[in-house]
Amino acid sequence: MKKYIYQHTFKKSPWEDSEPKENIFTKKRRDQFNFDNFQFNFNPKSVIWILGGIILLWLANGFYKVEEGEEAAIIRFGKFNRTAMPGLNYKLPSPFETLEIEKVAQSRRIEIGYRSSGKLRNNIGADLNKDRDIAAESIMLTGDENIIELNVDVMWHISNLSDYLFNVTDPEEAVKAVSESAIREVIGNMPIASVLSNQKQEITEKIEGLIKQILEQYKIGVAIEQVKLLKAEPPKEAIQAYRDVQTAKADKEKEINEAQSYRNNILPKARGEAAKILEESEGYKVEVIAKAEGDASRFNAIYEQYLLNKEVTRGRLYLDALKEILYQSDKVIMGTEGVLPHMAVKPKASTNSQ
Amino acid sequence: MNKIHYVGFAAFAFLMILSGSLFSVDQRQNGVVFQFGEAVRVIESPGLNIKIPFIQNVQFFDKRILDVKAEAKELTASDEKRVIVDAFAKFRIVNTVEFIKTVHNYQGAQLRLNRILESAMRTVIGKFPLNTLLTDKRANLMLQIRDLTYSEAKNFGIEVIDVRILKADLPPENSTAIYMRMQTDREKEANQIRAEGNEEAARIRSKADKESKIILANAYMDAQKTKGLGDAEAAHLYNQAYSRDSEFFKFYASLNTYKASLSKENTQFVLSPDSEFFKYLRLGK
Repeated sequence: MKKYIYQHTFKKSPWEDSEPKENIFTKKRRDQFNFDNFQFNFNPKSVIWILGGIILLWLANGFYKVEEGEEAAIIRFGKFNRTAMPGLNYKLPSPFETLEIEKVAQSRRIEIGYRSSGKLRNNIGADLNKDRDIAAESIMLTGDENIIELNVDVMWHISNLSDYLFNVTDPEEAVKAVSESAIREVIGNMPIASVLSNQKQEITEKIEGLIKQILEQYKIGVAIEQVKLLKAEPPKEAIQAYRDVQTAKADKEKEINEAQSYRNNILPKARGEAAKILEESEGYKVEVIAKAEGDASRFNAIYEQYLLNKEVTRGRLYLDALKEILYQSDKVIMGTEGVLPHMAVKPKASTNSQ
Repeated sequence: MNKIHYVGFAAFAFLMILSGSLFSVDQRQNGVVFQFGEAVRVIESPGLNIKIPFIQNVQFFDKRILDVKAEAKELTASDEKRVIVDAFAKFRIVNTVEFIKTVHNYQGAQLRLNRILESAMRTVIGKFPLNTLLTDKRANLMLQIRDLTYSEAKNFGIEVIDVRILKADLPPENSTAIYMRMQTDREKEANQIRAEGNEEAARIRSKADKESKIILANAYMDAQKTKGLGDAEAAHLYNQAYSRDSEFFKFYASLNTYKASLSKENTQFVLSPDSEFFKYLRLGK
């Protein structure tokens, strides 16, 4: 069983390889071979058999496979004849019909302004930073005569195989050139601020529309899937200044925030202080009035008594007051005779210690 | 034996003639049949065709859309500004015989078209100031270049389908100036933003200061008013009471003041025994 498979596969590949060659040169050589062989060994019948076999093989060569996502164009004597869909197909062999297979469903990508490094991309940990920048493609002039750096991806696929094959030389290059031109036309028509700001969606739509419009003119058989604006940056020479603008914006926010927090701090404090002052004043008012009322009523009360006996009340009040004043304070009582000229009057207790 | 050789030879000759007289024209190409160097037939539809073997030969010319590029050239716009422009044109051979007569082949056509395209670019761009290239008039400019190229290339059996400006950049020395300008522009903007931040912040702070001062001042005013009211009320009350006997009030108030002001700790009294206060003390002596 194993041996059979071996033989089978081994046999199969050399067949397919040798077949196309056979059409032009090897075939004649084989004919001659047969002639020679015939002369020495075989009869005409076997020549016919061999020729028939060769013709059969040649015809069998017309089978071909179209994979999913592919389409094939069959050209008969140089003229486009038909398209073939995925599956097993048959065409007349080589001199009559030839075949062009293209992956129509495959989404193709054109990189403008940079080249991704394909090798790295396949490795684990692909590094996008390793992309090379193509300055000649990425740097362009904006509408207000500023310079900007753009990286753009244009995704496309073949929409009409015969148009794609037969209408334009090097369609891929054409798509690229048209894309580049369209990008520059759109960007060249815009101030740098709007390219850098959030109008990216609008810009890609414009670019896509323009590319489609131009390609339609060429009947190139290509459909644009998507235009992706990967990078839109000011040039390296000025990027520091652009970043500083962003920092400045943050700084501004910071300043304002700080000021607001200052305000949020100071105003409630002031309001609190004000409330305190007001409360205090209310308190003072009540206190003063109450005191006045109290004083007045006390005075009135005493006055009532005073009216009853003026002399006594006066005297009593006077003595009460003296008692209160003199009760605890230092007192010196001096007669008129024999007074010392010096008197150690101590103004304060502190002088005692000296 | 001989018969077989004959048959073989006849077959070989037949094949030779067949291959000399049959030819296929590709979908992408036009075939032109020459007879002794003279173009006698143009085959525009692809497929199998016949010619007289050995006398006629056939050449093929692309009928797809072809491409020609104009290399980057420094041109002067009408406002004396220099600009580096490159462009490409898409064209197609429409009159093959004319094409062969005038430019012979694709390379010849490219050379010619290149020159035509460049001169058209020079003419058209020289008519407009640079900033026209940087507006939506760019498309219009490209159309003008195309029309110019179209009318000149027509003589070569070529139809120019489209001319597109690829790049329109300023020369390197101008670019440096632009970078400088962009930089200073941004610096200006950054400074302005920062200054605006300071301005806004100062405004907020001073407004807060003002508001807090107003709040405090108003509070002070209200407090003083309230206190004044209290004082007035108190004064009224005192007046009412004390005005009943001003002589007694003076006496009473003085005593109260003495009590309050002559405190016990820091006052020393030197009293004369002759004073009214000691009148009764003396009596006892």
